[in-house]
Amino acid sequence: MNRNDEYLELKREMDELSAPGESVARAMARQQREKREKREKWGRFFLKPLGGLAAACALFVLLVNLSPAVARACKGIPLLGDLAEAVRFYRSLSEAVEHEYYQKVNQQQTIDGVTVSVDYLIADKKGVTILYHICEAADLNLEDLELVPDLCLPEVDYTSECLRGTYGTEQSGGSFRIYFDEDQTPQSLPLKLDLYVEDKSIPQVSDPDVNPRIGTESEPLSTFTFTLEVDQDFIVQGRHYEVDQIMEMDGQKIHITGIDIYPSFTSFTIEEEAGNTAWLTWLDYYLLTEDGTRYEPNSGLFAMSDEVGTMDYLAESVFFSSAEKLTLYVTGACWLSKDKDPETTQRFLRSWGYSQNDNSQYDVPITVEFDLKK
Amino acid sequence: MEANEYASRVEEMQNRLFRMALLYLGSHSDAEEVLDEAVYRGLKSCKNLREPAYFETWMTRILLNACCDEYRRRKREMSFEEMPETAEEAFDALPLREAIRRLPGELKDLVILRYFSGYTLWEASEILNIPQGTAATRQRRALELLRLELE
Repeated sequence: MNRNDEYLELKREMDELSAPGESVARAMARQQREKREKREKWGRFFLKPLGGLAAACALFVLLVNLSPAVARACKGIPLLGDLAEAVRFYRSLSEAVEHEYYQKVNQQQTIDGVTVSVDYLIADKKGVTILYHICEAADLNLEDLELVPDLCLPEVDYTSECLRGTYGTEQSGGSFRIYFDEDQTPQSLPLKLDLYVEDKSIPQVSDPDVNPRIGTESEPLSTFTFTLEVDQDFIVQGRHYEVDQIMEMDGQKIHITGIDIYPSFTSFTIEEEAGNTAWLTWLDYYLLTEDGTRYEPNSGLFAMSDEVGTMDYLAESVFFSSAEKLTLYVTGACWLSKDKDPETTQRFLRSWGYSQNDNSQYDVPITVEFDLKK
Repeated sequence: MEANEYASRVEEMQNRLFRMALLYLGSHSDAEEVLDEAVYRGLKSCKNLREPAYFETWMTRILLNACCDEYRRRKREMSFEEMPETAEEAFDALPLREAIRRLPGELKDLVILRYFSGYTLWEASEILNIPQGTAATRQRRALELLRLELE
């Protein structure tokens, strides 16, 4: 057999071969497994001390979480017929609504004379904001009522917050924001709203984070459950930009590796250089587009992480802007020396945003520009 | 590109990818392992692929890189060496399949793409990110070493 015959024979043999199959399924399973292992590994280091946060570590500008005390702050805001006005405290949501980027839900449920309505959703690739309120409460005083939201999704990791003062009426209402891993926003959201009644016989305390009148240990008066279907068109919205920029501050280097622009927020990913002598514990920053429009850090939750030395910082959304250039201005940073004693380091690990030491403010902001045309 | 679309596109071309890996590495189990690795690498970065038209080129390049990585790894573990272009007689003595596997990497890529995967010279040069003239030179040299008379 000459070489050409040998080639034809080998070619025929090859053409008859099929791949063993299921490579895609195995790749997807591997990706899920690695994500889970990463979370579990990180969880041992970071999440256990936080005690109860389901998914990622989270930094908050305002203390907003699921505690009844904070949920309480979500009520008492006059319901404005215009949704855009109702979300006016949150620029990203407000702009989304201005662009008619929201989904009407209009689901109601009545238990023992109390009617709760879930009114709107604002969803994208990375999360969902749910707006709800109590419509009527029979013989109960609306001012004494409080709705505490949560999702019934034990298998899905998410971080959540109640948005302060975004939605409500004289009656109790509020907004619940959930952040999922990218592309993990479920199409079907099982929402639970626990209704609590405030016990005014218990004295109020000055600490705004503690409301002994309603404790999480108390039983809810009733629990409202809704299944919300999120429109597929919304949960695919968001843009990712790979970037590769190094910033040097206070002798430490941080690497900006990505920008994500979603309808409800913008985020940029920072990876700290392994050779740094300190952990980055806080960052003061804002974003500026080429037309001079300034975008502030997110109100409420402003940073999330599920990996040591990597953090996604959140800012107001530029999704609806036509910006082609985006500049990050860093005006300050806080560091925790890596040679601190274990107790101090643990304290940092237990409370993201621990920033009392090594605080720097920059007279001239450190800037880095990103090209959004690519 | 979204993961669902990626999955569907990969399934369409996975037979071709598997054959390429098999020719590159010589064993079914290694080829399957490398295909899995390439599909996984593609899944992780498919979001960054902005032009679906380049999917096939992009995925083929990922597979060749994975083959190359595996080949390097195995070279450290056992005698699995490519032969230099000067070893013409040694190539003659080998069965074609083995001779292809022992070609220098840059020639091997081209032979696999051109004569076993159905890519044109221009497509192969795009996948390998080399000028078409360079691809033509490599093709000619590979055919000489393999004593093949193919267009």
